[in-house]
Amino acid sequence: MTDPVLIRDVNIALAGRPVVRGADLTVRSGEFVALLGSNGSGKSTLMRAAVGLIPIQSGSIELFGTPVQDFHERQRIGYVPQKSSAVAGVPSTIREVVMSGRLARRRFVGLATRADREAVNDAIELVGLSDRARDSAALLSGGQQQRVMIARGLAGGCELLVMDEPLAGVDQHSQEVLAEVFMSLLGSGTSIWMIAHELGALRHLISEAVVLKDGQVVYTGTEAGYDDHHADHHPHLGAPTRQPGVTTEGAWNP
Amino acid sequence: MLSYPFMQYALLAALVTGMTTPAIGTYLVQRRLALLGDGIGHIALTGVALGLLTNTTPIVTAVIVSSIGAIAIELLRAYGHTSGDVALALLFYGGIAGGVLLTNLAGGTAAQLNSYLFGAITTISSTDLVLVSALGVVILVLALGLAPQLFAVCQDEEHARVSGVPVRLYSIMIAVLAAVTVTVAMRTVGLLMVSALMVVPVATAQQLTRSFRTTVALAMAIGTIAAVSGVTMSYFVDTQPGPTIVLLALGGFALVAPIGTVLRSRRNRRAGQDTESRVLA
Repeated sequence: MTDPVLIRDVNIALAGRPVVRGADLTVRSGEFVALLGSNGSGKSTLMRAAVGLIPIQSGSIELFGTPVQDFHERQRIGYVPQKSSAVAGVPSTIREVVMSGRLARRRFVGLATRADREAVNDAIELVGLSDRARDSAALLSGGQQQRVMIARGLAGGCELLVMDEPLAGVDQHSQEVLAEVFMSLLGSGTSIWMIAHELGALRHLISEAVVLKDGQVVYTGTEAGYDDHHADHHPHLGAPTRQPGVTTEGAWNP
Repeated sequence: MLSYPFMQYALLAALVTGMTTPAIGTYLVQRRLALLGDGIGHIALTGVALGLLTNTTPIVTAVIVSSIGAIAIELLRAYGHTSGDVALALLFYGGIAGGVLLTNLAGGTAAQLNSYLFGAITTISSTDLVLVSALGVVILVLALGLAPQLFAVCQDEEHARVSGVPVRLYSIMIAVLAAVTVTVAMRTVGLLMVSALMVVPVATAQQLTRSFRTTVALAMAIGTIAAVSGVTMSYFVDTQPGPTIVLLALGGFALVAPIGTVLRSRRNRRAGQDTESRVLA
């Protein structure tokens, strides 16, 4: 079986500055891989390149055995961007936001099919927000909004869920809900790749931890084998250092 | 009133304008580009002047020039190191200066420009009406027919891109649709007030709604009511139709906004109670 994510010797530069250097990372089928590291270590950049949002300088990235630039089976990936918000300039219900996760599977024009609606209901139920499905997403707490984003990532029936810091700003209750969600996903054979600062309630679910430091992979192995107190060694001092012209972490300005 | 052909034309044009402007305006508000319509309106003025200069129907040249301008704004936003508002500003002033200059060259008068800047719905010809209606149908079919894709692009570009949606193509499509909408509304409310009809009905609708779908539907209804009743009122009270329509739309917002505040605080309280009871349970 081909690995959902296979990253080999990848170099990525943002605004001319190398951000990821010679990184290797593999997410095997059914695994839960956590990508760890301090702010500015290149985690988001690597993940964004892996899903095709930014180009790489050298090396190779394959999704399900296909080079990422030729990968078109988008319904196989569920993506939860960093600091994404369920709220835009116009009110939308949780159901509407999650429905946009069906896009890779939906017919080009026409109304949502029964299968679309059922998948959306299932995803919302999985993250425990069924009773709020018709509410405006703006009324949700940060943790609940993050659960909506994950439901959107899952609505397409993906085989690989890719999440950039899904636990950031998530309250304890939502973390526990998510731990159950991920456990049931892993049980059904879905692979998960996630960026995190702290593993929290998810610690026992992690199959492999990969640690980035200054753009290089410094550790790959079990979560228990990694000294998690990285904040003691290089504490987070506010916002990560950024090259002038780079607007957000992992942003690419050509 | 309906026995005058010019009023029949005016009311039909108002109907098309009132329906189409909020339909595309909702996407602009969702993307937080509410002033895009205004910028395109300025560019369209150059298009109008080009029409006067070359003796072509101004609506046609305005559609072409404003579409090119809209694509330029979108490309500046995407590829240039220019932020959205600076990109807009560059085209704002280029558009208005070009429009005035070309009109002068064409030997046109300020009065001629005025009818496009502030609207002159009662002077709409049957050719104009046919053009406006045809463009209106195109806008509605695309804005409503491709709603899932456009919603996804406006909601979260990154997620849409990873889902395989050609985000840049749709962004350009939204900009071009906005440009076409501006030209459709140009004779009704004028280029300087077009943006009001794209944004104000949406702002009013979202005071009351919680879903995107009902926001679009309600905004279209509010836009249509404002446009048609504005034209009707201007006939009886003898005011200029464009400003009448815009002021009616703003009046609607002023009426609804307090209701929205009450509704929101009530929903917030209910949502708070829900969470609380779940935590306690």
